[in-house]
Amino acid sequence: MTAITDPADLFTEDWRVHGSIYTSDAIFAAEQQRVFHGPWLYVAHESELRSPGDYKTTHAGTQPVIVSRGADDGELRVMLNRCRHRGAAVCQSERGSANFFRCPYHGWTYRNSGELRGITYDDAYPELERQRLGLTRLPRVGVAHGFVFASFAEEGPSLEEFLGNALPYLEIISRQGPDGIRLSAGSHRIEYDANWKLQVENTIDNYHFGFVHRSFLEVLADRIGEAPPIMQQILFNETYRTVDLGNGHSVHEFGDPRTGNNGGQLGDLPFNLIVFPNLCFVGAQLRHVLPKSATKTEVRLYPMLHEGASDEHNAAILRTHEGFYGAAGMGGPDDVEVAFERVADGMRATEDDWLVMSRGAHRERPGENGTLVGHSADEVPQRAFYRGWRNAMTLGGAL
Amino acid sequence: MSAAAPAPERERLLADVAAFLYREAELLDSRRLDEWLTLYADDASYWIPQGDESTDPRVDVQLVLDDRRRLRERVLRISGGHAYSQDPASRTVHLIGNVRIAGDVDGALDVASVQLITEVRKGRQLQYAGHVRHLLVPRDGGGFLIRAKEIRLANNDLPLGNLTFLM
Amino acid sequence: MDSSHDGGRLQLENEFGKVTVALDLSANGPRLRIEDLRNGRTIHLDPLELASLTWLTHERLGPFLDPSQTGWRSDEGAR
Repeated sequence: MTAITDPADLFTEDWRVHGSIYTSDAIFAAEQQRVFHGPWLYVAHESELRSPGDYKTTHAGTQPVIVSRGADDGELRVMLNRCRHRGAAVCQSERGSANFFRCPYHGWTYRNSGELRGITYDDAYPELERQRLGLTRLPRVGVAHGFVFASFAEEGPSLEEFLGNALPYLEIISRQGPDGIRLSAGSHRIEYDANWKLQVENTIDNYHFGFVHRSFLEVLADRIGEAPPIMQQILFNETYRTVDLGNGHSVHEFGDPRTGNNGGQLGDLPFNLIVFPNLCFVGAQLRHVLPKSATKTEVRLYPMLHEGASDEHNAAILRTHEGFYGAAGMGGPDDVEVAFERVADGMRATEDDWLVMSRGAHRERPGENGTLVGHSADEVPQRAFYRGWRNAMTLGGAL
Repeated sequence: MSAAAPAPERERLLADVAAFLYREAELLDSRRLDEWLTLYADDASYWIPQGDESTDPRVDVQLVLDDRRRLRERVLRISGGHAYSQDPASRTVHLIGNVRIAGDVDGALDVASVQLITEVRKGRQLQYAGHVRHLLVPRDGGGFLIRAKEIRLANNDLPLGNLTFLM
Repeated sequence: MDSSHDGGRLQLENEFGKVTVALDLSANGPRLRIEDLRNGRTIHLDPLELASLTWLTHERLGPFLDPSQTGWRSDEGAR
């Protein structure tokens, strides 16, 4: 029960994983520095910020940020949502349009590109270095197929290098509608009392589907008059496969990633995708996982509407999404109950704190471009994620 | 049956409507869901909006927007014994107030109320308050059928946990 | 965040400002009347002034957004 202080010791050669990765405050704090500081973090989709002056508030890891499109230059910028004066959050709206931001506390005013534009009663600050007191920008912002990412690291791999083998999948997602996709429908907000990684690793876990979602399978059976073949497909369809894409990313393909489907529902992607560390795609949804503490998480589920399609088509995507997901969905809440909160309950039994994440490890085989390929219900995506996580965590040495 | 009826009739109608809402709440709170489902017309809708009055289900995501078929599926799922998010089931108490007949909509009575739903499950007690609207149509043989129910929760834009019980 | 239309009067609001904009016909020629609903200040802009505004960039408009220049000056007192 002694706390493990070297991240390298959290995993064994045969993929046993120490439970403290889900519960330890020290590991959570280290994650914020090592896992979320270095890589590119998803913050927005371009459809949320179409016009100059548009902005949204969100989180990069645990850090509250503003994503804005410059009033004059149309450039996307990401900055901390924190007044440089005494720290109040400058923007409150989830989305809005403003060419200037004014802090509600003492009226400090910023251009929406971050520069400090003015201060109330400024004669009291004879020596202030205003040019250094703009909203703190994340040094790098990049866009890949409409998805906006930012990084806290001044240097490191380019966005393209970081996304690597995940890039072609993002491109396919960006072309789902006749004219692309848009995140204009709002999002479901889910909150649960357990670690953020549980949601990420549950996004591609075909092993659980027949158990946790048995009640949903019963609904489908009632709807179509026979038991749906989902589990047979997962277990025996050889075109269904899981792939470790490298850099912590992974995918589950329902056959050909361009044309395949899960036998499925309107708007569904032909694959599930995890972009390390906290961006996921499943069904017709973009899933943004927001860590709050070691044992508290918020998840935002954004249905991706089809640009250029009719309102009726998009409304059908929304209704299908709502049928499974969200706090009142017929699927998602069962994941919250079992895969997150009952896991959190079990994790309190720390006397024997090791988990097993080796399913199918013996049959992982090399794929194209350095990938590793496994069966549909193997724990390839979990291992892919924790390879990326372990690399980031061990680089910093002991906790 | 009309909102514009003379005063004594209006009072009787309001009392009938309120009694119907209490009856629905009793069925929900005692989890007699099959019986509850019979209160809904074949073309009924059951809507838990997300967001304020400006939310548009054609373009905005909702918490729930069920037709009668999906509402039946919801009952089927909860009753089947394999819905972990309702195992154990939520115990609910509906408190209903401010009942009034707001008007007519396409031959249905437009009934407004406020409801405070207390939910107890797995060591937690949570409360959901909302503005509720029912569109009620006459039922053959007397009483009402629900053509539409809308539950506009005050916290419907906040992060939520488990709303899989029926409201 | 919201705007509404009331006769000839438009109300525009985001989390930082709240104004009404109206066509004003009380003078010899038409003007645009802007009112800051948070402090009651108004201005009337004529067509040439409005046309000239289209030459602005938001950066050049910036000095008017400096609160020390527009209402929060120590020598004028708060509005």
